[in-house]
Amino acid sequence: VTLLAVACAAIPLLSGVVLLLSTPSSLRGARLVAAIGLAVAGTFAALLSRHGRTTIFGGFDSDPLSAFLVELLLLSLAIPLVRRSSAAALGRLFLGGALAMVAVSTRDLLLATLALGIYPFVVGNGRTEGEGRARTSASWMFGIVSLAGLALVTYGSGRGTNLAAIAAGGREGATVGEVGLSLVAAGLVLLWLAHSRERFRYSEESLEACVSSSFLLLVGVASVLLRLTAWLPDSSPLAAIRALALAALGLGAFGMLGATRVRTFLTALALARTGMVLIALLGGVHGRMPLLLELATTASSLFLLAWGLESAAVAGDGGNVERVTSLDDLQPAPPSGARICLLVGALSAASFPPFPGFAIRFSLARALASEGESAALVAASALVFLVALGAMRIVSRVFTAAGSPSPSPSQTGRRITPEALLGLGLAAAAIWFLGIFPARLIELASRAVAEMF
Amino acid sequence: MSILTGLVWAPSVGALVVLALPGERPSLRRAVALGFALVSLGLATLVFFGDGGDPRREIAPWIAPLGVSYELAFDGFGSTVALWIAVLAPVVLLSERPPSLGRRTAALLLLAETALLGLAGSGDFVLFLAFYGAGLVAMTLLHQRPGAMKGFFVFQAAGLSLMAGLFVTCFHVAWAQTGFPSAEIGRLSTLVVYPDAQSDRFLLGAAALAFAAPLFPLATWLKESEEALSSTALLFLLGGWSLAGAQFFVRIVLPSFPTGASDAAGVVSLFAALGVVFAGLLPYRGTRERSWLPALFGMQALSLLGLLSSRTDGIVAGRLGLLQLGVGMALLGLATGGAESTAGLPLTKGGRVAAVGVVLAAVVLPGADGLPVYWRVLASLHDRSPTLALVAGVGLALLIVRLLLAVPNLARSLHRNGRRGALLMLPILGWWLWISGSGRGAARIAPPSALSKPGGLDEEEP
Repeated sequence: VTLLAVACAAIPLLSGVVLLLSTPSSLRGARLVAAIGLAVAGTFAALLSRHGRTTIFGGFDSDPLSAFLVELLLLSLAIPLVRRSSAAALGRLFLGGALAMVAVSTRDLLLATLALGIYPFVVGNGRTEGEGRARTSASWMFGIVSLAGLALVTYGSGRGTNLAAIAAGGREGATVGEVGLSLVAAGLVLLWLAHSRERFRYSEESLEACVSSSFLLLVGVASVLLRLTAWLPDSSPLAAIRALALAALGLGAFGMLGATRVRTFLTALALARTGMVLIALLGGVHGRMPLLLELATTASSLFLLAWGLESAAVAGDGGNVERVTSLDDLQPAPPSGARICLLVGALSAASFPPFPGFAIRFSLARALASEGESAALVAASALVFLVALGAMRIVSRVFTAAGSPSPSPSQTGRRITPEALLGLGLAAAAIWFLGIFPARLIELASRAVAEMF
Repeated sequence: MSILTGLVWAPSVGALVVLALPGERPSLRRAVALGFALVSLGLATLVFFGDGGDPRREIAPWIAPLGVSYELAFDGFGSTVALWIAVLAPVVLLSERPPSLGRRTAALLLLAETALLGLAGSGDFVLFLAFYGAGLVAMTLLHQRPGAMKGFFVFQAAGLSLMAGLFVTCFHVAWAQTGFPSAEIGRLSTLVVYPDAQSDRFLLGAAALAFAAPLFPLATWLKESEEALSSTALLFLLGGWSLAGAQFFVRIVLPSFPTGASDAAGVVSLFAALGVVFAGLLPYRGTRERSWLPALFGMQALSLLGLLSSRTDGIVAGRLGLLQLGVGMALLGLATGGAESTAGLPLTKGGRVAAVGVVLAAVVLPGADGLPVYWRVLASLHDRSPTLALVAGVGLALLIVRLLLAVPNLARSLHRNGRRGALLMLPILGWWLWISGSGRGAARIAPPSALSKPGGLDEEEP
């Protein structure tokens, strides 16, 4: 078990190094190595999930929960690998993936926050001034808020930063510890927000790479918060999480309604979905399974939308390629197949019935209701409605012709390559199918949360 | 595959076939779409006639960990509505000439038909929401302008969100009381809920209906939709989708919260009666030929008044009123739409006015047992509140005046639109006369006996 668990984190690390060291001529081979590595790591994670919880090196957990999250991380690494992101970006993503795997497997708060803290530095590339500035501010935010929180946790508990030790310590110093945990939670969420905004707004990488980078960090942050609320139910930072969740959902929803650029739109959408993930933390025991499924549907819908928007960028005349940068660039609309895939992606992102995720919301809402979080439930429902309206902005642009500015000559006759359309269609069908028939996924998530202690 | 699944999903299969047809062959496209719609019509007829009075039911597990199942259950009213939708769909497809019926429009209309059939028969509220959302998306995509699309989606999605909110509270209560998750609609009426909580849930359901039906003043999207939809799509919106919200109310809210319904009926009835008056008075700024459109939410409100009645005949009248709403709107839509048609109706001016008179009579007047449907609604309302009956009666009178004022425009458009529209009115009129006139039709529409229990909606008068 120890060997498999270590290999799960080591494989992305080594694959990242191989990708970073590859030359343009050896890139194809490096991709192949990374793909095989992901498949092997995925198999290892599946094997690990069959075992119960095992403690490794005193501070790491190998349990079905970690295995579930690791599988999500591996899948999110696979998408940009299949799509043609650059070797450098892929290499950094894989290194970041290894860090996220450390964060999802450890119960030591210090180790988790350190892994997540250096994640933006590893994944970012520092090419542009704006990006560098954003990354610096993110690290500062994280550094000040989270480390201050960690200090308070250590002081308050008197038992270090290991969650198991803190949990065993009872309520002594609980107030100080609670403030500290709230600061840790807030710092991690702010870190995610700053990093994601930086990736989407300033990075020149493909949209899929940006989604992957944002999602890897989200899984890491969500896993730390999940363990915090699960191990320390009496002093968990629920007040901070409630405020952060609703703020994220609200900012995301209104951001989607107001965004004009595609990348801003995706940032807002990712923020809104993160808000939903955080809200699931308020659902206590019953909220854990929906949280994992929210993570899964967040990843799938964001990837599908990003992939669809990237594919829609191909303009027909003269074979030139124009990126879709503004939402208005979606007119004239791409061909029917791509439009349908964008429809599935956009409405899946909103979990609008009958698109993926809407049935899961019932168990999430039930969890909130059973925990007495009625106000949060009502507020979240209203904001989710706004998210659906925001998602319709994409749909209305690709399914109507009127109201658009005059298309540039290169945009007329836009078409999509058959390979891209096939891949997009298969992805949309798979996501839709898994979303509509999530019973197996629910079983896996239920087992993961049931055996997390 | 069972008959119910075939009934609901045949149009969707047709939509996929239509999308997959190679090349631009409009006649073939319409023929294929029509063929699948007729398959559905045949199966709907079988369901309506072939069950010997017992509801048909089909159930299979869907998302077992959440207690969600694929359950179709057509009771008497559900099978009647399904038959109406199945009659309407071929009429709508035939109302356009093949070149005007695009691939996307045909496919979306068939998808919307599946959604409406599913709404009539869903036995699980997650499945109900799935059908509602699918229909909403299909109807939204039929809009050809972004503004109209957004307007329609905002109001309808608000209704859908409120429905989902109601279901969530019920899901939570069901899980807490039974110890296992269940999304079965039939279970909702067995839950133990305090009377004030029943009232709250009923009001939430009524609010969802107000958005989804729509009721005044939540129908501001109607004018934009009228301008942004093709005449075919508008016909389906008016005749078919206008019953979607009511399905939620009739099939789920009223049976599940009878105590709440009787407690809160006064408030909702007041808003409904005022809605009828406003529908009669409201100036319409859309196309002149369709100045009758506000009658849509006036008739919705009148039907609601019937559904909230404390008498069985009032409830039956309310249910008939809903069907009459669909029939009337479809007839008016046929009389007004199809501007591309070239063959004029070979009637004199007097004949045209007479034809319009028949259409209008179908909209507001007849119940084939001799009493006008909405008159029975008012009579049942009078027993509970004479003042409200008076207000609603004034509203109905204003609605009739509005429709009468529309006669010249209707006669002109009927003349221009030609034989096709007039011929297509015949099956609709025939269906309506048969349903409202035959004993079998009326018996199917009556609420199930379970609702007649003490404390229920339809306690008989002594």
